Amino acid sequence: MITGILHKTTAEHQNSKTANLPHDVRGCISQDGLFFYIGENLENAQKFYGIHNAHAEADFEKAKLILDKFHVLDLVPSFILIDLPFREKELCNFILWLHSARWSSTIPVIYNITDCSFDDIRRLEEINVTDELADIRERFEPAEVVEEPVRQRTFRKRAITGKRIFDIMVSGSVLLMLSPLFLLISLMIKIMAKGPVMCKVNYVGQHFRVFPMYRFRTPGCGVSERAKRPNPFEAFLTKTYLNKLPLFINVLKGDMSIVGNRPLPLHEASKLTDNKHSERFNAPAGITGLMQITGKRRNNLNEDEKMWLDIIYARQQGLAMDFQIIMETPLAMFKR
Amino acid sequence: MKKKVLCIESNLSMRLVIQNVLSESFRVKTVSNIFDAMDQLPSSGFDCIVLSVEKRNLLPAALLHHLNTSCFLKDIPVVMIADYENEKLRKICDDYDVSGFFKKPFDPLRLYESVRTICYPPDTSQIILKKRKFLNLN
Repeated sequence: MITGILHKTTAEHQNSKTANLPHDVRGCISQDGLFFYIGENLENAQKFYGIHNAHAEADFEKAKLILDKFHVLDLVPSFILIDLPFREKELCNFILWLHSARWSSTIPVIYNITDCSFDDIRRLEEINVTDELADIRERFEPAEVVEEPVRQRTFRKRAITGKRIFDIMVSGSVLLMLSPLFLLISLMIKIMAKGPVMCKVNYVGQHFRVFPMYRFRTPGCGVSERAKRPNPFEAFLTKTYLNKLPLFINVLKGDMSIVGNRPLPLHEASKLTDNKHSERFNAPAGITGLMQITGKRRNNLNEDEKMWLDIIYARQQGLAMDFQIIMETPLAMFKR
Repeated sequence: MKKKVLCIESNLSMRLVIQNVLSESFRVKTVSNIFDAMDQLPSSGFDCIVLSVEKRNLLPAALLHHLNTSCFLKDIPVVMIADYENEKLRKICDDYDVSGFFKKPFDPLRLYESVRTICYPPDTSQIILKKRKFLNLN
């Protein structure tokens, strides 16, 4: 819900201006600010976004004229919702027009992507037009009495806390229950070959946080180990994924989560720090995730598809999705 | 006391990445646009600015001009991150004496090193002293 998340001072400022406005414009302004709609289905948009006060125009050209009039009246819409079929050239022209003046360049633009194709959405993201309300929330402080956003934020905070508590409980229990197995594997590694029991390799997690990822030592675990051939026990560890058991230490430490995106080595993560891919870093690195539960298809996924799965998880992450992934993980492991 | 860095980046995820990487050694303030940056700059006493530039947006050049013409702000070093690279941008960097340049995608740890070198330059007198000691000149 967008209602009530506008900057209070903006609303006050606009209220003082309403007395001198023409009737049709005045109707669009409340203490929540001004919402500018470009399209032909205002009623649906109002229901969808929960907004009652809006000014609607059918196309970009008319919108430009009216926005100019607003500017003369010293009014800036709180945001613009575009609900037109995707025509890139027209949209780009409009966005450029918005960016040509200081007063209009900061107006957030939301695009209704309901009827857009996958490519259209990618293109929209490239020109920084979004359907995400996050952009709006980011720009405006919440007003004093706002119920919906505060509730949403509290829910989000609770979800993050819930996820962490879940991670601690699961990883703690696993480490406690499997401690004899840990001891046995460590002993076996020590007996079979010289060197440390575990290896640490730097990986990248949420918001590009670099952390040492723990694994039982197998060839290929560290860079220096790559050349060696695995002994039978090491091969067994790799095949049964038992070499990854120490990942639960990372989960307990808070470096990783049970469910999350693929942890990436530094050199791979450095290739993703652009506007298109960086969204994946909004989710923590996880032991399992959307990519793992794609089962047999996992090996057929190309890098782009893996990346999109990561981004989808980063956008939709939540406890419900995490539970679903956890439930499907064993099945996916057997399918492989 | 940690030095202060202002990061101007329109993309929320990138902003979080840069903030997380730099916050290890710096106090990082992030803003999403040039206008917010202009509001922040005069009062906050930043030691370095990390400025993100997008091809479709030429406002960062205006900010560089603003910095260069202000006697209070012209000494603040600027590190630029751009999603493109061309002659025009290179000229802007030269003209406004940009201290570092990164093209997206980039290694955030290298950005951290670059900002660290700018904010905490190695003490040259100490290096000379060590060299003299090494050469037994004292």
